[in-house]
Amino acid sequence: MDQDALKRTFLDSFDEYNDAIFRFCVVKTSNRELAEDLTQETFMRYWQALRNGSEMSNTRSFLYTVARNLVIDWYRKHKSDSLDAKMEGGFQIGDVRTPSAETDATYQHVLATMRDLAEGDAEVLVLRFVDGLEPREIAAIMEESANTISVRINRALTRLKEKLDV
Amino acid sequence: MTDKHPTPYLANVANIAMDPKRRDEMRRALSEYADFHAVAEGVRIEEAERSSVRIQHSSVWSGLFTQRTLRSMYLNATLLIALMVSGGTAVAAQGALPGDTLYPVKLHVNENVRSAFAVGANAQARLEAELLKERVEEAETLATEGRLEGDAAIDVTSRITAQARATADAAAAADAETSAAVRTDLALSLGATGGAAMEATTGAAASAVAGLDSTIDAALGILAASENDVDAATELAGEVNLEARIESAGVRADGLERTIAAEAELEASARAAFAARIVEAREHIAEARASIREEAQAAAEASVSAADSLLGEIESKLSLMGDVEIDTDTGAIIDINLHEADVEADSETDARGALDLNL
Repeated sequence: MDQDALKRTFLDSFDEYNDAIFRFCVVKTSNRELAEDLTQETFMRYWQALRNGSEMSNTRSFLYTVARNLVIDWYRKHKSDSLDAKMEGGFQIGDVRTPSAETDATYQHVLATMRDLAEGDAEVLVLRFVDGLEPREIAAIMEESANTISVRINRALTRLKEKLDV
Repeated sequence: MTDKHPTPYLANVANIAMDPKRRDEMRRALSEYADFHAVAEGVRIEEAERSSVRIQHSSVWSGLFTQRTLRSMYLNATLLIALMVSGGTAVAAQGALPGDTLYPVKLHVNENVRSAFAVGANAQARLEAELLKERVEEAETLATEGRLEGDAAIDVTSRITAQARATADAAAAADAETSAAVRTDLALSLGATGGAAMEATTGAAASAVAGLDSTIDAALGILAASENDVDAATELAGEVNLEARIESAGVRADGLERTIAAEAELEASARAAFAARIVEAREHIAEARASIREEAQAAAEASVSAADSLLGEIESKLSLMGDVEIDTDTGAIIDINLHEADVEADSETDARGALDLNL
C-alpha cells in the first residue's frame, strides 16, 4: 500500500474504533483527559506499526492491546498517584457526552461500581458486553486462555449483578 | 455477539464517547502525524495472515504531539533535540510553505512551541490570529509563485478555514477587549489581502488568487459570525491590541536578556548571536512605539510583528538547548537549564546555533 492508501486505512480505523478505545481507557483510568491522551497515543503507535509494515490480522485487537499496555505503563509510572486518586474516590469524567444529568449520574455509579470490582472484571465486562468482543479475542488481548476469560466473564457478571442487586 | 448489555448499567457505559469537537481535533492531529511520518518510498506494506502482533517501542515522537506535554511550564527539550538533526531545522522551517519538506516541522514543532509560550486565553487568542495570518500569507506566496492549484489549493483552503475556526473559538474564550482587538486586527489585515497578489498574477494563477479571496472572505465570515458587534471594535481596540503586543514584546526581550546574561555556560558565539537579535527586536519595538504615536497603525503592526518573529526564533532555539522556565503571567522566558550534552558539545552545537540564527 502506498502512503495515501495506508493513511485511508489508518483514518478509517480511527473512525471505527476511537470511541471504543476511548471508552476502554475511561473505564480503566476514570479520567477523561488521560483517556484522551492514551487514545491518541494508541493510534499514533498504530500508525507507526502500519508504517513499519507490522503484520496484524485483527486491527481491533491490536488497538486494544496497545491501549491496555499504555494504561499498564501509566499506572506503573504513577503508582502513588493512582492510589491517591482511588483513596480520594475522585472522578474526573468531566464533560463526557451524556444525554442528561440523570444518565450522567448513572455513569458515575456504573464506573464507581466497576472500579470496586476485582481487577480485570471491569475490563472483561466492557470488552464483552459493550464492545462485543468474543472471549477468544479478549483472551488474546489479555494474554490469557479463552477458557479463563469465559470463566472470568461469568463471575464478573455475577458480581456486578450482586452489587447492583439486579 | 450474544447477551448484549445484560444490565442497563452496561448499556449506559456503551454511551460513553469522546466529545465530537475533541475527536475531530484528534483526527486532524493524527492525519498530520501520518503525513509527517510518511511511508518511505519503495516500502510495500501488506496485510498478513498471521495472528501474532508486534507492539512498537515507545517513540520519542509521541510525547511531542501531546498538547499537555508541551504546555508544561518546564519544557523538556530532550524530545525536540532527538527530533532535530541540527538545531537549525526549526528555525529554517519557519520560512517553509505548504508542500515544502520542512512545512510539517513549522506546523507541528515551531507552532506547538509557540503555543506552549502562549499562556492564558488572551495570549492563545492572539497566537491563533497570528497563525491565521501566516496561513493566508503562505497561500498568497504560493499564489504568486503559481503553486496554488489542485491538491495544494484544497489543502490550503481547508487549513485556512480550520484556523479561522480555531481563532474564532480562541477569541471567544479570551476577554472582551482581546477578542475585539483580535477581530479588528484580522479584519484590517485580511481584508487588505489579495491586492498585491492579484496584481502579480495572471491567468490560472489569478483565478487561484480569486479562489483564495473567497476563502479569506469565508474565514472573515466565520470570525464575524461568532461576534455580535464587530463594528463596535474600533481603532481604539486596534491600538490597545498593538500597545499590549508592544509591551509584551518588551517584556519578552527583557526576560531573554536576563536569562542569557545569567547563563554562564552559554558559548560566546551563541550569546553574541542572541544579543544581536534582541537588539534588532528592540529596534523594531521602538519603531512600533513611534508609529503608534504617529497613528501609523499598519507600520506599528509590521514593526511589532517583526519583533515577535525575532523573539520567537530565540525562544525556539533556547527551548532546544535546555529546560526553560516561563513566567506564567507574561509568557516570557525567565530562566534556562542548559542540557549537559549541549554544554559539553559547546563548540559544535553553539557554533551551529550561531550559524542557524543567521538563516
